[in-house]
Amino acid sequence: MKTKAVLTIALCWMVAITAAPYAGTEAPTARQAGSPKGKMPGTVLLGSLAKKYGPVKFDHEKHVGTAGSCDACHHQHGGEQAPSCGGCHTIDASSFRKNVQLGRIRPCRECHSASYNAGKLDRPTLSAAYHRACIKCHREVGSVGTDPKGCTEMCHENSAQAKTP
Amino acid sequence: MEKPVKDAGGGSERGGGKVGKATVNRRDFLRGMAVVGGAALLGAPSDAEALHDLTGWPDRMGMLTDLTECVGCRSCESACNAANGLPAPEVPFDEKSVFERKRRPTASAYTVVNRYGNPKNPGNPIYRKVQCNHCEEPSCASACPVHAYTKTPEGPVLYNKDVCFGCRYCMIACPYYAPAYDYESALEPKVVKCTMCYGRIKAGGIPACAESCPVGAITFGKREKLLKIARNRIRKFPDRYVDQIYGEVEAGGTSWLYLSGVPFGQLDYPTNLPRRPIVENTKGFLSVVPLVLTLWPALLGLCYTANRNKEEEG
Repeated sequence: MKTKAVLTIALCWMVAITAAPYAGTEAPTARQAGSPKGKMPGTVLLGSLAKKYGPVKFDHEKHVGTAGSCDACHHQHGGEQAPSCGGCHTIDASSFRKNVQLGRIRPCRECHSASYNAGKLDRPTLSAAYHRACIKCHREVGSVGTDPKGCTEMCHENSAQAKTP
Repeated sequence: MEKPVKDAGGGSERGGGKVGKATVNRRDFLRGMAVVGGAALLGAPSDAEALHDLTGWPDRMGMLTDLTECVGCRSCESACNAANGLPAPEVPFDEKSVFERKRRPTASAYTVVNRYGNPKNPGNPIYRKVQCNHCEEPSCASACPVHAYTKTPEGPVLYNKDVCFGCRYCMIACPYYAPAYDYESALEPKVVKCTMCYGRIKAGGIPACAESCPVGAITFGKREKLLKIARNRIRKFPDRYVDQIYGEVEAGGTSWLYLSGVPFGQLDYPTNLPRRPIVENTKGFLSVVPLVLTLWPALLGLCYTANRNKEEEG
């Protein structure tokens, strides 16, 4: 190879090395693929289910007979899902008894928040707690999940049905 | 003085020798290569594993899916469809007959749920949600020639359809076969996959699937926190869960974490994935390529020129 050829190649590489840092553009800011046009909603209230379904008509008396013990659903003390003592009581001798009203079953919503709670990730939301309590037994019976009937026939009334007298 | 050695193997060298122009002596060539190789390796970046440790992003989010809770209601599929403005499916979301065959994400379904038999409890099948797992070090981002994928500090791996040219290397690279190709569109190729509802996360919300799950099987939160929660659940209920969080280390870890009551191999999860990110197979030598391509020809040319001059004088 002639000297000229070698020098030309070397010159080309020098240009390439020098230009390399300036070549290439940053990829444009990634647009969220598949995002709908217009604004994305922020936090959506779980009340959306109330639009889809009417409230559930729950026969407590019947379930008392089948459940056996209160803590099957009201898991304040005892049972697998029972919270720790500190979850409801302050661990302080003087206030221990006063912190929680004895004899009162706390409603689910006092511990299970209706919307997403980043501070209590291991605790199901209110909707999830309800569904888990019901499905615990009704799934075993072969209803939810495998039953082709779906949500409205099993427990929920359609909001249209709920409105009809 | 060394005699020019003709290349007995044939090829382009021989022509140069016959005309009387100088050839590179084989020993000098090898010597030159060794010198250049040493120089290049010395100059190569010592830590090619630039992103191996993601502790720089401690707030990255994850999704913990508890397969022992999922009841196969497909609310997540329905919510994902609505949140992303996807076309209405051929089969409605409350139809359970879709479980008869195993499905995968498609261009119009970023997530699907599949049903598996439960050896522990035959009456209660296991349902598995499938979608992009938003890997910590995504193979799709590594394979893409045009940098269409980005791992965001928040956790989701996002895709930029404006630079994609439809090569589909990402589909080959993904160990979970997550990216789906929009075969319907000829002129605007688009690979689609779950976005972990990045827009909703940035606006302070949570992904649509997690929000819609009626039994709370999907938990959205910081990945580090979710790992602790998952370990706690396994510790508290050792008979309920298999002692593994799928996604903790697979292919370098994923944002999507799973807990299951049966071994993951029974649920079609890939179990042969290495613990290290797949990109680490290529990161090392590929990071040296630019240096090699610039340095070697220059140095080789110098060696050659120096040798040629030496022979001419001698």
